[in-house]
Amino acid sequence: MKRKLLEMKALKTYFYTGDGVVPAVDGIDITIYEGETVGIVGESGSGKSVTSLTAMRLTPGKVVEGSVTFDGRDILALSEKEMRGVRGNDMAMIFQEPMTALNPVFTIGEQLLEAIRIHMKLGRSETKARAIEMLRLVGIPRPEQMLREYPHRLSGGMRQRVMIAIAMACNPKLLIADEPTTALDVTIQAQILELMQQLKTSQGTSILLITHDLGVVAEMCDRVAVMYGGQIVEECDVLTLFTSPKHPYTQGLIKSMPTLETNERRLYSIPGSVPPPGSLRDGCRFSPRCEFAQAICHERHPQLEAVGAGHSARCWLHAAEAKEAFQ
Amino acid sequence: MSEPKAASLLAQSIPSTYADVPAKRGALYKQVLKRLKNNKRSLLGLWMVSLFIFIAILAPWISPYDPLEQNMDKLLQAPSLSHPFGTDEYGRDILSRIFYGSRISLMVGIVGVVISVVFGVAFGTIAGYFGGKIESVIMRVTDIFMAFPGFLLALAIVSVLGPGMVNLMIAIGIFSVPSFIWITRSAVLSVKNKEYIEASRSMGAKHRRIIFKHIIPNSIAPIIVLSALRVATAILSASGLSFLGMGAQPPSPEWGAMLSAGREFLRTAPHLSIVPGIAIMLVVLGFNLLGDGLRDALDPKMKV
Amino acid sequence: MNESLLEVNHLTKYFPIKKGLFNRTVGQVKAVDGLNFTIFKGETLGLVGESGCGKSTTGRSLLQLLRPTTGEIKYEGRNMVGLPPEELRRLRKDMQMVFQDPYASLNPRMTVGELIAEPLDIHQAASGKERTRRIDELLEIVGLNSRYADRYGHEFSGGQRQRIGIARALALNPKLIVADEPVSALDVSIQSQIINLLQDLQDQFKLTYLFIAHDLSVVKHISSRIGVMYLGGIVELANKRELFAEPLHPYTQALLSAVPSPDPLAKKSRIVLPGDVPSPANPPPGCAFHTRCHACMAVCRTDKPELRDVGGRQVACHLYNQA
Repeated sequence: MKRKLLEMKALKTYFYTGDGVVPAVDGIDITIYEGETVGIVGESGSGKSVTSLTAMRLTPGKVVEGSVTFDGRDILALSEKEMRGVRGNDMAMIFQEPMTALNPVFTIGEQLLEAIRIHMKLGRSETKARAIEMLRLVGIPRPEQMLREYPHRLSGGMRQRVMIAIAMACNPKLLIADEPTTALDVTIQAQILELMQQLKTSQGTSILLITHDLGVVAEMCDRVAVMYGGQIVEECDVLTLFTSPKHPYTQGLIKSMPTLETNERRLYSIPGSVPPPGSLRDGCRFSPRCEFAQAICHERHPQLEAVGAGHSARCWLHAAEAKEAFQ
Repeated sequence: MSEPKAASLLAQSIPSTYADVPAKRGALYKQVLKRLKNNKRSLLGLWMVSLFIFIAILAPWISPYDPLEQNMDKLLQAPSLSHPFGTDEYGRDILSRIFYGSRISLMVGIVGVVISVVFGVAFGTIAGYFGGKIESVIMRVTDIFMAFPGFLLALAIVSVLGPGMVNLMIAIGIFSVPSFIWITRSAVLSVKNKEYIEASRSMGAKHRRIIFKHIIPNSIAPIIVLSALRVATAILSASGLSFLGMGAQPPSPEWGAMLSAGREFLRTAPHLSIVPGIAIMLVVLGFNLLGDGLRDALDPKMKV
Repeated sequence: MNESLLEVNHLTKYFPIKKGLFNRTVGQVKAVDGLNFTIFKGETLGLVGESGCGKSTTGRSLLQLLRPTTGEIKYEGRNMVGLPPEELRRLRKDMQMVFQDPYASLNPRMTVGELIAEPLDIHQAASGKERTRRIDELLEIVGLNSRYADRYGHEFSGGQRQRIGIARALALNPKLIVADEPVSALDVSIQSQIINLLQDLQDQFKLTYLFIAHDLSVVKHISSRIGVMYLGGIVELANKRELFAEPLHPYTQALLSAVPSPDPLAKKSRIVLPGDVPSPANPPPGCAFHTRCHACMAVCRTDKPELRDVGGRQVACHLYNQA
C-alpha cells in the first residue's frame, strides 16, 4: 500500500455571510496517496474549489469540523508561520486564471526567484540557475530572456507554464490545480496537460485536480470524487467512473456531454438548475433533479457508502445493495 | 507561490464560486434600502437628513417666533427656556432662525445639485457614449473648470452675477458640474461596452433608446452617491459665500450669514456663531454619512 | 444544393492600432482577413477556432455590429454592407444574436418581461395585450414559467438567464440566429439543456444558425457544416461527418486530437502543437499556420493558400493543391 499524503476527514468549511451560514463544504473525506492524481469534479457552487483551498488553509470560510492531515502533520493545528513553510515547499497551487495570480508590476524572474529564495534558501547564482532550469522544464523557450519579461507580455498558455514553474520550483509533494486549463484554448490545454503528466512522472508529484471537464478527468486522473452541493456523491477510480457510474448525477453528467464520438441527435440532460451553495434541504441534495428519486430520497439524507471495491456512492438506490454486500 | 499573492487570489476565486446565488425576490431598491438600514452610520445619516428635511417643511409650525421679528428688549440673550438658543443682536429668536435657515440651506444645496446633475449627466453621457471629438471638447472644457479651486470659481461667478439667492444657486450648481461630468462619463464608459448594450444594438435600437433605457439606468449609482455628497459641499459652500456676504442677504436667516454676523459678538455672546455653526456641521455630516452609506449600499465594489 | 440565406464574400475586418498623442494609426489587427462562405437556409453552420481566430468578429460583422473593412455580406441576395441605417434596422428583425455571457447580456435594471419585449418595443411590433401575450408565449417556448415575467434577471441561474436571452432573440421571428459561444459560460449539466433547446427551436421555427464556439464536441453535436478558423481565416470548411472522419488541414487534425476524450481507455495519438498562435497584428507571411505546422513546406512560408474545393469540401492548404 502506498503512503497517504493528504487526508481530509469529515471536513466542513462554512461561510458566515450577511444572509446566513453557507455550508460550502459539508463533510468531505478525501485521501490522496503518493504519486497519485485525484480529481474533484463538480459544477459551480459544488464546493470543489473551497475544498482545495481548505487543504492549503487559504479558505476565507471557517473550518467548523474535521481534520486535514498532510504528510503526517495536522494542517489545521499548524501555526501560520509553519503553514507558510508548508505552502510552496510541500504543497503548491495553480489557478484557473494565471494573470490574476502573477503580480503585474514584477518580472517573471523576480517572482520566480522570490519563490525559490523563500523556500529553498539557495545562493544567488544557484537560485537563478534553478529558475532557468524550471522554466526550461515547463517548456518555455529562451528562459534567460523570459526572466526579464512582465506577465502581461505573455500569452495565457505561457503564463500558466510560468505559474507551474513557480509552483514546481521547490519540488512540492502535492500540486493542487484548480481548473488549470479552463481559461486556455484546446491546443494549449493539450500542451499544459501533457506538461503536468510529464512533471508527475519525472518528479513523482501527487496532483489534486479540480475541474468541471470530464474529458480532462479521463486523461489525467487515477481516482475521482464527484461533488454535488458541498458533498461527495461518488468516488471511485477513473475507469469505473466512466464504465459503471452508480450515482444518477454522475451518470447524467457523463450522458449529457456531447463528445466527438457520439452521434445522437438529442443529448441527455439533467433537468433543473445547479443549486446555489447553502440551499439545504431534507433528503438527498440531488433528489429534485433526479429521475430515479423515490419517497425516501426526498425525506432522508443518504450516506456515502461502499458499492464496490474502492467505489462509494451517496444514493438510496445503492444503499440496499451496499448493505447486502456487507452481509 | 508566496502568500500575499495567494491571498489576493482568494478575493477573486471565491465570489466566482458563488456567482450563481440567486438574489432574493424584490426590486433592487428594496435591497439597497435593506443594506442601508444594516449600516449604523448610514442609518444615522438618513435620520439626520430626514430630521432637517422635516424641520424645513414644518418650520412655520414648529418655530416659536417669527425669525425676522426684532425685539429690542431682548438683545443678545443667552439660551433660556423661552429662547432655547438665545437671541441675536436684534433680539431675534435664534432657534426660529435656525429652523427657517434649514429651508434656505437645503434649497440651495438641493437646487444647486439638481442643476449640476442635469448638466453634468447630459454632458458626461454625451462625452462617454459618443466619444471622439465631441468628447475631447467637453472633457477639455471640464478640465479648465476643474483647474480652478471650486470655491473660488463659485465666488467669481457670484461676483459677476451679483449677490442673491438665485445667483448663489446657479454658482453652486456650476461649481459641481465638472465633477458630475467626470463621474458620469466614467460610469458610462464602463457600461458602454457591456454585452447588453451590444445586444440592444443588434436588435436595431437607436441611440436614444440605448442611452435612456440602458446606459443611464446602469450608470446612476455613482451619480446618486455623488449627489448626496455634493449636497453637503453645496450647503457648505453656500454658507461660506453667505458668510462672505456674497449669498443670502440680511435679514434672511441663512446659517452662513448668521455665523458671519455673530463674529462681532464672539466674546460676549458666542452662541450667535456656535449654534448656526453646529447646524451647518450636522447637516453636512448627515449628507456625508448618507452619501457614504449609499455608496456601500448601491455598489459594494465602489468602496475605495 | 440548398438555397443560400447569407453569402459572405471577401470579408475583412481590420482594427487600427492607435498610439501616441494624436492617435496616429501605427498598425492593424487583422481580426478577419478575406472570408468566403455561405450559410444555407435551415442549416447550422459551426465556426470553431481558438481565441483570437476571429470567429466572434465574424459573427458580429455579419450582424453589422462591426462595420466590415471590406467585402460584402449578402442576405437573401442583397448586400447589407453600406445600407442606410433605416433599411439596416428593418433587416435586423430577421437576424438576432445569442450571447455568451448570460449575466452580462441582460440589463440588470430590466425585468424579464421588459428584456424579452425589447425587440418588440424597438420595432414597434406589438403593444398592450398583444405584447403581454407574446412575452408569455416566448417564456413558455423556452421552458420558463410565464409568471416570471415581472422578475429581475439577477434572480435566475445562468441556464435560466440564457433561456431568457434566447427568448429575446426569438421575439421577432428571425430567420438567422448568430449564437456566439451560447453554452460555454454554463455548467456542464446545464449545457445540454440549452443545446437541446436550440435544436428544438430550430426544428419548430425553421431557424438557421451560425453557431460560434471553441468547444469542438458541442459544435460537432449541433452543426451540419463546420468551418475551422485560424488567425482570421477559414482553413477548412466541410460537412461535419467528413470533417471529423478525416480532417484534412493539419490545424484541424491537431485541433481534433487535442480535445480530451471522456473515455479513459481511448489512448489516441495526440498532435501537440508547438508554440502559440501568432499575433493577428503581425501575422506570419504565407500560410498563417506554417509556424506551427508539422507538414510545413517551402511554399507555405511565402504563398498564402486559398480556400479551394478538395473532394467536396474546402481546404486552404498547399498540401492539397496538387490534387
